[in-house]
Amino acid sequence: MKSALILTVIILAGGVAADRIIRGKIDEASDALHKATATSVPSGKTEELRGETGRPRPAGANDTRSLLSGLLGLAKELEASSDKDDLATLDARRDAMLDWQRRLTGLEPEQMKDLIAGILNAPELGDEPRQSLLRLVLESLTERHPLEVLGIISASPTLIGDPGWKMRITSDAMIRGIAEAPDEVIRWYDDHGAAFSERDRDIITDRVLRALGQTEPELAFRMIKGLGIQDIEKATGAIASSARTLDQASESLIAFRDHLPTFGSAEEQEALRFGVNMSLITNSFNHGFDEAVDWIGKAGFSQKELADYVFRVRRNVRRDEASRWLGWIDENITDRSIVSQVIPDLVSDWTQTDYKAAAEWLEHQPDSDLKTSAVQRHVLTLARYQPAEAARWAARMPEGEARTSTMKMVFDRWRTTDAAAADAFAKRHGIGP
Amino acid sequence: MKPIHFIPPAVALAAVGLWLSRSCVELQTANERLRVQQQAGGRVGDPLLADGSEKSRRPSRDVPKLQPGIGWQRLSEIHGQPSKGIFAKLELRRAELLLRDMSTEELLAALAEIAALDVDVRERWAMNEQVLTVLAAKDPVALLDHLTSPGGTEVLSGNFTFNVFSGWAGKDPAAAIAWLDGKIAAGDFTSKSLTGENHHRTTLEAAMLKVLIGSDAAAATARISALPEAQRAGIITRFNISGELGKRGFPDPSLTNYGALIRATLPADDQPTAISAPIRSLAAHPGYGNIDGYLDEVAATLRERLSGVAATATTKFRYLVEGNRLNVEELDKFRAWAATQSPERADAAMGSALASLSNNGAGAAAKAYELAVHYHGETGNDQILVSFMMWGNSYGREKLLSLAERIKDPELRGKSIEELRKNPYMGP
Repeated sequence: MKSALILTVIILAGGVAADRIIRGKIDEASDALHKATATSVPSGKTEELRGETGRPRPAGANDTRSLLSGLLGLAKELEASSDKDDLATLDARRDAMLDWQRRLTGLEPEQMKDLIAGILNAPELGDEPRQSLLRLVLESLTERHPLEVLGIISASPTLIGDPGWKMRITSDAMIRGIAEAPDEVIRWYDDHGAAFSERDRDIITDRVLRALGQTEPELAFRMIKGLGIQDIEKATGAIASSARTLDQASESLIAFRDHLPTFGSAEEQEALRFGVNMSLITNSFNHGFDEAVDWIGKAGFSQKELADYVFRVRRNVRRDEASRWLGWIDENITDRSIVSQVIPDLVSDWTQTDYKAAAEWLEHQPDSDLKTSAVQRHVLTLARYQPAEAARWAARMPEGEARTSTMKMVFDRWRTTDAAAADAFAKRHGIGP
Repeated sequence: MKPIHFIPPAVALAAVGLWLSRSCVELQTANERLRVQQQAGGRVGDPLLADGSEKSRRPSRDVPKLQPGIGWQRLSEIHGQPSKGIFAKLELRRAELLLRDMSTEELLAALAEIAALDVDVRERWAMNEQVLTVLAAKDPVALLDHLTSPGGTEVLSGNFTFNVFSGWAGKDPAAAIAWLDGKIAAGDFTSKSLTGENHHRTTLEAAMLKVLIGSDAAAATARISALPEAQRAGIITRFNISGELGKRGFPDPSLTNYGALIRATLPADDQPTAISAPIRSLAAHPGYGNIDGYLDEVAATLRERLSGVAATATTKFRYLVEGNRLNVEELDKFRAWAATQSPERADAAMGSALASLSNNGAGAAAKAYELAVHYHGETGNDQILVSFMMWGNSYGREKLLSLAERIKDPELRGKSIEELRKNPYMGP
């Protein structure tokens, strides 16, 4: 019996010792949590709360009651400083909200829902601070649980009062959600997209496509069909124009080419191809002529695609790059019928904006039919403003039908402003009335 | 020991085990709370979450790291975001507040700093606009000197310089005129173009016209008359960029002055376009009353009214598309109004305006095509289709040929089909 009692005492003593060690570790963890929480809760004093066991909970711990209490404190502070518009207040506001976002991001969806219910039911909150807190909570939840946010939005359509914020949070949640579960987002949008107006849907899908277009263009193109977007031309254009760098442009182009066969008829695909090519090539010129033509060279455009672009968007040329652009077209477009139309058109535009530079470029071109056409457009553009200079250029054109008709047009134009000079020009070159 | 002797230690063992297991649960809970808190806190300044999971590899939208000054590279990223969250908006506001405290020299230096960044042209302009807006409020002369100097910031928003100068000229017209005339005299607005037009001067003269048209019509006419004829129409049609004309109700002396200015300074051929230019903003309002009032006030001629009908159709239809109201009911209202202004050409103007809707997306283009066919069927007026085809190149040859085949007049039909087949500027 004695040994049994000794053994019992030893067991109990061991238990007490082990419990002390565990309690020590609990206290350490609680202290660490308390410190971590204290640094992340700059404002919003929390009353001492007691748990079911009656043990006091550390202020600022991640239970929804203390979080709610802290958030209400934050709302009061934000409201009190709402009329201040100085840097110190803004930074303090930002820091406070940022710290709260850090804490909220660690919560689980059910805790967030409790918090949202608490915010909605807090009688002391005015409409504006209530909406501010809801935005903060939903933005934080979007970081880790975007699908839950979409669920909350569809379950409570009037939760976010401001339509702009509602669209923003919805599009953000969709962007985040698509990255991890695209099919679930598609299903959600299928079921609940109709709750938004057509205009709002356009804005939401446009944001989603543009955001995905910057980071995951393949997914972006896939989402056009997934989200049931009807205006495919606009959607592909949005993705293409979201590319910020030439590397992004290359990724967009590859993804677009992969998806193009899935979009409509051959005729519609042709229109889409042109639209996307135009957007990407035009944007490439924002990086400067050299980088742009380097990128175009590597992008694998067919001759037809290049010719289409050059033919239809020839007026996008910057004046200071006109001569380089003309040279590039002449060297790179093999369809000479395109070149013979585009270069004279470009020369005409260039003459309008910088006639001396255009004339100098023409001076250095070797004689050819192309040069004759370009000179003709130069002359006709000059004729209204500088008929004498136009006449000089016309007279230098090679003999033939083009020269004769050009001289006659210069004469007709000149006669309306200086009949004597025009007559002298006509007499000198034998131009009939 | 007898079996009964094992009972006390067994009970003690069970009690200790139970007690310790509860303590262990508490320890586990405390550690989990700490882990969650540390993970959330660990994201500060670090765009990745700490758990290394798949979702944590996504970049955070807002990397919340404060810098003492303005981090332009960071701001360019914010401007590039298709939708901006709470923290992005706070950062933009913070930059505005920092800019507000900068001197003119510091703001000009900020523009130079932005110019040196390798960022997208759209984000560069968004940042430039932030700086220029503050500079405009602080020192408009320094801003305008900068913008009109060689190497000055390139303004991508068409109205920016116009708004800054007209704002300043509205408050201090004498100083603004003196500054503008000084720049002209110094030869700062030279041009390489055939018309001699300098885009800075065009913008500034247009802004000055906005101020003078209501307050000093004679001075306005004198300034425009002093310019070469080829430059005048561009300035006159541009000055109403903010849509002031006709907004103040009728009668409005500015409108009478505007009509008189056009007739005093522009060649007859340029007058209809200039008269109809303000209609682009007037047509944004519901109904046609504002446009009627405006055309009456400027004493529009029949030719000018035709131009006005075309401008109304172009703008009105675009708004109808945006409001998803491009339909027979609305177009009937337009036709009834247009018939009071230009009975012979109303349907042709409608056809052209419908064709130009092809720029508003595939849905609008299809609806416009359908309406052109509908009204041609209803009225038998071939001009609807002919005008549609003239402005409808982007529909492609096949679709326009199918329209041309509906033209009732055989001669006109044959001619239209031939022109479509020969048109080199048209896709299939």
